Amino acid sequence: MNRTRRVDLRRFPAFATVSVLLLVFLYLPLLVVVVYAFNTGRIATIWEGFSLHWFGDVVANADIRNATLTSLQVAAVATVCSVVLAIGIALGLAALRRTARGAVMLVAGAPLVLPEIVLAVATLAMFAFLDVPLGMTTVTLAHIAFCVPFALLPIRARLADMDQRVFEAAADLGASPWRVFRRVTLPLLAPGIVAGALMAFIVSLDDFLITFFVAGPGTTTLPIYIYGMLRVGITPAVNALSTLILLVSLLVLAAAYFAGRKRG
Amino acid sequence: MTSAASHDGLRIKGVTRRFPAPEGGIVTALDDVSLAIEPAEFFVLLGPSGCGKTTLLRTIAGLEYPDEGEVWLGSERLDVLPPYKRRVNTVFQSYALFPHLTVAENVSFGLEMEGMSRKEAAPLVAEALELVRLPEHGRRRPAQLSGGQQQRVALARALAKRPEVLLLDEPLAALDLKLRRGMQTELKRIQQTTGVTFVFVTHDQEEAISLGDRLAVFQEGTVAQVGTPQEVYERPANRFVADFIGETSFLTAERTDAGFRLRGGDVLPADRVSGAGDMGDTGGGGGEVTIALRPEHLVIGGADAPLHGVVRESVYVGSDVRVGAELAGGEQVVVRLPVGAAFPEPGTRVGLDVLPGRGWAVAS
Amino acid sequence: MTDPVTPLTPGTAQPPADDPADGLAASAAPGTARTRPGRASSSGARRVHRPAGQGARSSVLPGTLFLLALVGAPLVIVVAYSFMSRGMFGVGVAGPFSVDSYVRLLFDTQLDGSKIFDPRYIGVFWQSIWLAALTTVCCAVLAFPMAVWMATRSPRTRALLVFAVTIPFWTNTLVRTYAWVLILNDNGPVSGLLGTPIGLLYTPFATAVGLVYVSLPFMILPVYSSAEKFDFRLAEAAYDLGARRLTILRRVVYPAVRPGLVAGVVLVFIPSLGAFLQPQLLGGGKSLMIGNLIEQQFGASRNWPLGSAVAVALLVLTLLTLMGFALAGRRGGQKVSLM
Repeated sequence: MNRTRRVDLRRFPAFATVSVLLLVFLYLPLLVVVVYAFNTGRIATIWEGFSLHWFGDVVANADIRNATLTSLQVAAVATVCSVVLAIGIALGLAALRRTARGAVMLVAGAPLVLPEIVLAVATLAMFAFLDVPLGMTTVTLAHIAFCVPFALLPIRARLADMDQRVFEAAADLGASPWRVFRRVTLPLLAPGIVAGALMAFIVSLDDFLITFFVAGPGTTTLPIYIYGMLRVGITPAVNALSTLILLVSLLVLAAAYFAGRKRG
Repeated sequence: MTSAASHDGLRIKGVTRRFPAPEGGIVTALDDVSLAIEPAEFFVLLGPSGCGKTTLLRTIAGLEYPDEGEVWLGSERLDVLPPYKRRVNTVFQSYALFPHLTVAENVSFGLEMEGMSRKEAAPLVAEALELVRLPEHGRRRPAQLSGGQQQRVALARALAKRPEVLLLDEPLAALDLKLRRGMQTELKRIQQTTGVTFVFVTHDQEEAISLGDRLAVFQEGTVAQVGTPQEVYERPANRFVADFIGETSFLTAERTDAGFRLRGGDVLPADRVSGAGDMGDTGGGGGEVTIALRPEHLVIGGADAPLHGVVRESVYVGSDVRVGAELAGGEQVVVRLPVGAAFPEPGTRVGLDVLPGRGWAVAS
Repeated sequence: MTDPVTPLTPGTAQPPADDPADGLAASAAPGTARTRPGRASSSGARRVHRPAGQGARSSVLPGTLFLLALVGAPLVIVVAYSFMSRGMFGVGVAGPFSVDSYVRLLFDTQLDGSKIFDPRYIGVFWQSIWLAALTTVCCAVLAFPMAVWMATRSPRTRALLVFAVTIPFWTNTLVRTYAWVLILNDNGPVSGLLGTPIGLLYTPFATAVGLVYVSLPFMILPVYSSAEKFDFRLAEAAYDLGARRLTILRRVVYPAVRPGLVAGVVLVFIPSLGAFLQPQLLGGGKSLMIGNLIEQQFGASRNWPLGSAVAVALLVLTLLTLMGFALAGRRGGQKVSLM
């Protein structure tokens, strides 16, 4: 099989070229941000020499620290809540009839398919309609909603891979539904839950648009803060902050990748 | 590890179960099934796939609920209890071992559900693993065991609970032939030493006959026959049972004063056939009956034999020779000859006879 | 397969079984054969328990209700808002039912009350559809060879490549979009290499580059997952049979990856259509897209009904796109699944 695959490649040499160029296209912009983060000059886009002092500025900036904390807090709550809701949906789906299952999947998948801007203004409109003051709570509620489908995907995939008879076996051996859940379902679902939580966490940290609409003036997450910086003008501090964010995402993803590989 | 049969047997009373069919409509998986399974009995539910035997097993376990009918274990009504409240345990076809637990933890699981600590359960776990001859494997994970070993763990896990009734759902289906034979012997031994009532589902008629104290043959959601293996084999209740169990040739005959007149004109003397009288009007209005013949109940005789045919094939199968013959009326019959007997070449005209009383008249 | 059952949420005590089965499942399956819940039997009040399984159907309720409240209800409200008028001082909405906002999408009202056709809003829609389509085509053309190339690597390399394509997808979208501001601005590396600023930033071109950049993984991954299932010995066989390379691609490889391509087109086109960040940061004021129009109406212009009408129009476009691709998938005889 490997032999024929290699032969196949020689027949479409342009494919390899396109692929390599695409990989460069995917990573070069990120590299540019990182390189400019070490620029000495005040004007972000003109290279003047190597310096670390913009990183110092970022770390020392209390606003950035607060925004980071806000982002982490929202993401943590959104992750826990969306994972819990997703576990419920994943477990219940199998017991539903086809029509009901389709309806639930439609609702659960909606945040994934709808344009984010529509979801953003619609959520804002609802909070305004209900006279709910914008702030931490509204941001967190909105984040939970769009995190659910991301948490649901790996949990559902994990559930589908499992021998459904083990739940029956547990009940047969005397486990009440709650104990089946605690002793069998939850431990077996754990890898899917971890993956789902990771996805929800990253998606929540990444969000700009929905937060932008439902945050109100007092609540600033990291993307909102960066957006604000960009409107004022491009400064090397933005590059340094972006570099730090890239570094953290890379570390988390690498850890997840190797943890996943170890598990097999 | 003896679980004395404290119950008065398992009673299935008029159980009916219907499912909505995937393509619409309703499938009746069980149609008014009643059975009485005695304490310490090895009872086999036998039938082709889709006949309802597994649905009945799952109904006893509590994994399905009947639409009508009741299930009683002694004086306790089972069908209203959830599975985790029944003194009944199951060995699943796929084994359904918990992959995240070790073998010992798997076996211990059911005991812990009764409120035992893992420590209290330990001696019982060891005993159960001893019983299935896997005392050294407690610390392994199910994935590290062979199929046969997983099968034994599933058995130990269910038996550790000392159930009054053990339900086995085609437990040997996934094993290869040799392992299956070994496990059959093992199961019989375990059933006899523990005295637990076994209800064993299989589609393999040989397995059913060699294991069961009694068996119930299922046919499309109903019980076609209940009896000892010998009764079922020798006196099948109908053509379906005769056909499903063992190798059978069928002859359609008309009842006359002289005996049974076949399509080709040959007459089988009345004393060769039994069952016809017991069966009432088995053959329908015109006195027509179907006679079931086992290969070992047919003999090749001389020209004066009552039946006449032509040999179509002779096959050596090791323990004996199977001769396929075509009777004058075109019916195909199979005759079993001992090895060593001169076996006829294809094309030879032969006379055939049935051992007295061994032909069995069945309902068509 | 399901009998009337007692809903059991993990962690709750078991309610009496003669409770009606939960409303969601009961109402969602009309016409299917089901026996009556809690029916009387010979033994009087009979308790029917749900068969052991992985979960109770009612456990979908918290999540589903939450999403209905935070996704379903807002959509209803935004549709309602689109049929109202601006509130006092431009805050919120007010007034009776009106289709003014939808009329406004097409016509401008003159001082004398007459309406004349106004192409500005329609122009924004057209610009968005055009840019989203361009983005989608670029992604498809680039992703196809890459996905096929990835699928012909060794399993180890494949896993690594998938990871490599996934990383940008997981890194911050705002940062990734900003990276192009850095690259394309008049003092940036591109101008530096060319020796002269050529005004790349704040053009529809910049918007398109940004959209392609953030969308590419959404095309590569589904096409790859289709290509991975394809047995490339078939392509070899076709080659041996004398087919030319383009013929092999068109007749053998393309049909095999078509489901992934269709899924990728949906995953790229819809988000691009409603994009906000890329036209905002890279397009400047010059390539306004639907997303920016909505933001303006809810923000600076304070015309929520008009913003809602634009959002509803975008929603309708999205649904039409989804339906179109569902049909395309069905016609291809292959199931296209996004989830």
